[in-house]
Amino acid sequence: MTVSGMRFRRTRFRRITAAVLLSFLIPAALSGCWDSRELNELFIVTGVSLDKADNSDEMNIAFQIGKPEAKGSVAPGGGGSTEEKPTLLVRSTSDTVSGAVLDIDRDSSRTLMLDHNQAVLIGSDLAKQGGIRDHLDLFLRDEETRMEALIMVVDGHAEKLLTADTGEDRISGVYLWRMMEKLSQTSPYYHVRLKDFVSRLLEQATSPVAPVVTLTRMNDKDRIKIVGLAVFKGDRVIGRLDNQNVPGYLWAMGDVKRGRFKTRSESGTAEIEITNLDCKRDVTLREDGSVQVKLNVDASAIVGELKGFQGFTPDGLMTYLMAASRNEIRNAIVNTFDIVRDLNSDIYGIGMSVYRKYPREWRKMKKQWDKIFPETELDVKVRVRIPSTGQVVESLEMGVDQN
Amino acid sequence: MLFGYIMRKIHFLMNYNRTQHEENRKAHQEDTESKTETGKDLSQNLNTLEAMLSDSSDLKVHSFRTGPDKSLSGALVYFDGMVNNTTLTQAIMRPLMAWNGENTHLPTGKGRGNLLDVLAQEVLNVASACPVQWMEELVSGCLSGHTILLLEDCPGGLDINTEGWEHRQITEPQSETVVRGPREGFTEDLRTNITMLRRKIRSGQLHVEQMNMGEKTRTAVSLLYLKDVADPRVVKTVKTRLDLLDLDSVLESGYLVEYIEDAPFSLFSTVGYSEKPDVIAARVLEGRVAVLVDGTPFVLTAPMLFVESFQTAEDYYARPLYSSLIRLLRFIAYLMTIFLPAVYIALTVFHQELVPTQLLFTFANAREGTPFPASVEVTTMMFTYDILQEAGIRLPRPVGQAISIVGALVMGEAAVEAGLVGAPTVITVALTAVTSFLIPMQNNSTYILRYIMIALASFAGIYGISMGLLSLLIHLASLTSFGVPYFDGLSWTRNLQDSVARMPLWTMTRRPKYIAHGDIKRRHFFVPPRPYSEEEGEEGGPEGDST
Repeated sequence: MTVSGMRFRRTRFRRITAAVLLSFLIPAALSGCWDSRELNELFIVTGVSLDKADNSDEMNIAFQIGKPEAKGSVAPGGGGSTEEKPTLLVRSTSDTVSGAVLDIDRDSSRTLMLDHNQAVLIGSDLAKQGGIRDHLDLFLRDEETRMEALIMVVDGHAEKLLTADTGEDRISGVYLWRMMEKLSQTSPYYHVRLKDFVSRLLEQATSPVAPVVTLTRMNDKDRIKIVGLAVFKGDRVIGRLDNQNVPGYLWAMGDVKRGRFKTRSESGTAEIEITNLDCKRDVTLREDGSVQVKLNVDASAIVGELKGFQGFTPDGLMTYLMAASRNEIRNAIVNTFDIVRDLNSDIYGIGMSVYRKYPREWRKMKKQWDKIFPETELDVKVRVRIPSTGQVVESLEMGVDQN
Repeated sequence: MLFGYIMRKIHFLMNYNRTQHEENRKAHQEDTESKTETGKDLSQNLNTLEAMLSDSSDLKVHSFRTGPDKSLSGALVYFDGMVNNTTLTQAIMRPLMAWNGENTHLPTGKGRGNLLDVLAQEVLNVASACPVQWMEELVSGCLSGHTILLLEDCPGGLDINTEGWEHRQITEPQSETVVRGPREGFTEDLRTNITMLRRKIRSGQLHVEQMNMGEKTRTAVSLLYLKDVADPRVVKTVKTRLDLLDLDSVLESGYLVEYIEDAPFSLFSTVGYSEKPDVIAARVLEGRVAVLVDGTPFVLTAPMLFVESFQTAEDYYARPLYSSLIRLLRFIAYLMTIFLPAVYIALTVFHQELVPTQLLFTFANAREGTPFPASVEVTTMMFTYDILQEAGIRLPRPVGQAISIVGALVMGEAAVEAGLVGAPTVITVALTAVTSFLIPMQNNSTYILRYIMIALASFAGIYGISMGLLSLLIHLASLTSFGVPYFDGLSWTRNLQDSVARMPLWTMTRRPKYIAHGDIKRRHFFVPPRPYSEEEGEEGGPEGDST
């Protein structure tokens, strides 16, 4: 009995051991992120710039790397080391981005990590030359990179933005991210991320846009300024909307949470703040093959600032302001649309609206969209509500007697 | 499932051994249960008794003469210090010395067999005195602090209960202090402990069973439960398991836990314990069985559920909202104390993309210049903390302070200053340590689980952690405690009034379904108490007062 008991127990034990071992081996066969990377072996990339190189086939690629400050190592000289730049710039010239990454990885003690890349900056020369689609491939294909990274066009050399010292954030990549994050509260269409850009590229009919930034100097500090929106045709920049034309585009896209405009007339100047703006779009296909776009803008606003308006009653003023705002919004939208129509680049996605409404007809129109789009007619209807005058009802001048 | 499978198999093997043990033990018992009879000769009896008690120096033998004309010679045998001297002199010696045979029913004739009965019933001023026949019984009586009275020409002896030794006063328990609630704690004395429970539950249904455990120590062990509430199956299981024990000594209730647990190889204890009478009383009222062991203030309760570790006495003394919040905090702390170091490693070494950029830079700054990989850093710091904690517990209090200074300054501050470890690591370890204090009942398991999780995270990141969490959950869900699923009280299908949240007491109309049996009803109505209002009174409500 004991012998058979022993044998019985031994096979049991073997089975148990096998089960335990298997339970550790099975997960090993499953895929996962196996590579452990210590933080001090990494270059945390916070920005990438792509510039046109002298040789037309190649690009100057620069990676901005956030430099960690070592806590333990105290500089022997005392406070001398505090002036050190917080970022490191590594450059390479290559025809592909991954080529540059390989180049840099080979010649450095650390590995580039693109997980935290905040922005892809494209020099205006390269942007005008086109072919950005191919350059962005790595950022889409690699599992390490983020589709959340911003895409921007830089006036002149993109690289200089990566070395900018704004004095606000240590790292300009993070600065750009925060700036755009703030602007995205105004309108999500301002905040162009890699995924927004690429999905427009894939839609084909819709053209991508990207904010244009530039570097200026002011009071011994660098300043990063947004100067407008670059209008793409395919993956090539063909024009630009200036800052005063940009609202017209954003308002036509709707979903605006914040905005500001001014109405000026003889009786006074009013600064109106938009609190919410929605735009409904309706496209109709005419018999002659052209497209008519109807925009129904519904805006809520509050009075920001008033100057003048002597002799107005509060009610009269509100009526006046609403009418003025209506005009202002309509004009902005129409003006911008005219510019875009001239550029012949459908950044509004009107083609997609046509496709959604007339999927059958769109098949034929798709190829001729370049010819149809410039003929598009725009019809804008605006409704503005100004429910509040702010904390005061009248401007200081309103109470003054006209005599 | 796999864990459960392994555990069941191991269990099977254990039981297999156990049944064999049982057979051996029975045979052994039969061997030793030969008894020595007491003779008539006093000096011979005394000699045998002394020999059986190995001639100890603290064994006192007091010879005396009593009876009519002091014609009866006898002896009192007891252990010095184990008997109450007042009882001995006032209730035994004095009446014996004063007894001259008058006013008692002295046996006539030759037989003096029932003279001991006469002494017990008519002479001695003691509550418990019984004549016994066997030498072994006299020995065990002597060993439990009784006084043995032997008489010349009289077979057998009188076993008089004179127990009375020094024991610790009832004090506030060190392991479970409360802000609000009773401050008394159990003592090392079994009698006192049972009394404390009896005073809390004045019910005729409170049943106490006594047994002796340990072949050498013969420790008194008591089983205590409410007859109408406790599940008879659980009571039976506890009893059978205790009966099966093959122990030579029981010095603390922990000795028993290892023998009666459902899963002896599990990290989790399936037997609860407490040092506070109110806690034990509450558990007994829920239908649990309490096991009291002489010589320790820690009382065991079975079955134990996982949620029990997160319940404290004060949860029920404070108001429900606050209690629920604190309980939630405990659950979070429990997860933190197991997973925090592991998650820190996984995030810094494997999944940097999951960390917000700003935070990653903070981590990177701290990691810059430190010589070891993150996992080594965390493990070392965790290990150091455990050493410090252990040192602090065992050392006498004045020296313990030195340890805390060394720990705080040298290990924490200096290690970061010197660039040996990063500050986030120290914070992680500190948080892990602090959170572990919220669930003292589970400290045994968290301590080990933490290291397992660190190991898994160092090899496979979040993936490893989730594998660990999964197997942990599987294991926990397959555990049972005396037949009751360990996770009961947390599973969705059961009443959850007393788990993650502590509902108001008036909602808990029934005792826990999974433990209590029989008299399940705790309260009559599921209604909040309403303040007495004048109008209702006039309409002739139940509390209406006609005056």
